[in-house]
Amino acid sequence: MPTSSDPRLPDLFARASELEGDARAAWLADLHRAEPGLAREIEDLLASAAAGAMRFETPAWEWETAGGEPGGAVPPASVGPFRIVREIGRGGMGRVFLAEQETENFRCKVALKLLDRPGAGKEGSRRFREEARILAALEHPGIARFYDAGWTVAGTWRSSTSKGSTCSPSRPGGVSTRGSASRSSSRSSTRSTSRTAAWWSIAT
Amino acid sequence: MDPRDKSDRKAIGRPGEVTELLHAWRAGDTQAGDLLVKVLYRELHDMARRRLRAERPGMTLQTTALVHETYLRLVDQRRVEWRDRGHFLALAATMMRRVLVDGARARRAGKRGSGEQAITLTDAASAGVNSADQVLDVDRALERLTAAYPRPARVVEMRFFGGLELEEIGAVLGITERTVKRDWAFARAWLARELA
Repeated sequence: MPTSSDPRLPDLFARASELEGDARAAWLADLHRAEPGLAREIEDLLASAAAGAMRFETPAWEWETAGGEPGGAVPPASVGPFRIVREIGRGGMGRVFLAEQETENFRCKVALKLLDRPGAGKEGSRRFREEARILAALEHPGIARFYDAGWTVAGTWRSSTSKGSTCSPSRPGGVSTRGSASRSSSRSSTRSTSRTAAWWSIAT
Repeated sequence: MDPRDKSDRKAIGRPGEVTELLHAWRAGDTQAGDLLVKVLYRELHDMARRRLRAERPGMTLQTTALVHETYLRLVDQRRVEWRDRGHFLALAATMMRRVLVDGARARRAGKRGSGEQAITLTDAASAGVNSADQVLDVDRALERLTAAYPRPARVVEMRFFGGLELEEIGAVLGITERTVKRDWAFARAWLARELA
């Protein structure tokens, strides 16, 4: 949307930021009635506030030394058998990408979580492993099904499973895995409605 | 005046001289201000480069420490008022921005190793170019923010590029810390929207 340079904008944004829930909604509704353009702009800024806080949390020089904005480095073209399609989200430790595997017989899509925030380090790796452990124990239609975890070493993908992972040709859109992670995959193979899987890579 | 000009680099640099420049600049001497800009630019550039070379891979440069060390190194502490310190830190933040943006431009232009030396710790050229793009995008967005909302933009320069604390920024701008926080939150959201 076109941006204005209305001098009231900073103060009104601060006012809206300090309100929560129903109070904020009521305040914005009042503003919409009086000045709809200004209200839309404030809503737009409120929607950008979290991204701004994350983006500018780290000083510019630390972007420089880390090779880019936290989590902003160019992702690899592919990770293991999966080709990265596009970024679909980001958090404090890394980014999530839509990725796909395509063979002669099938094509499947997965959500691939990449731990690539500069400085995540050992603590980041530990938290990722813990996240995977918890995710692997969960089974719910509303939660991405854990599929596999792995890491890259000098550009070479290493799966946590003994034989690597592949999409299931019998269930387009789903995924399965072999080897040590088979427990989660054997469960998931009965749920054809779930089309995403959590997968992450630790770049070293 | 181009702050990258090295001609006055050796002539000025002792704490007494920089303090004199600071006093003169505060009194309205624009020539003193130009010289101060030059000295600060070179000092911050060189100090950042030395520090980056000394750090272990994966370590990040602490902007706040860099700016404050530059201050301690360049300014005679016995002869400076607290207000001068604030002005020095604000100027240092502007110079930090220039050093960083110039380095990013140099990398974008593929001038690594010739002319102005780009400051980077990363070995991966792709990562360096990537960060250069991001820094230049922020710099351009910040120019637009400055045109519309100068004070929040100044807060970004001092906080994001200069690493100053909110309290220090408040002292420099003559506003409360609460107002600094509000400006900082507004500017971050505004820039994030611009850069989305």
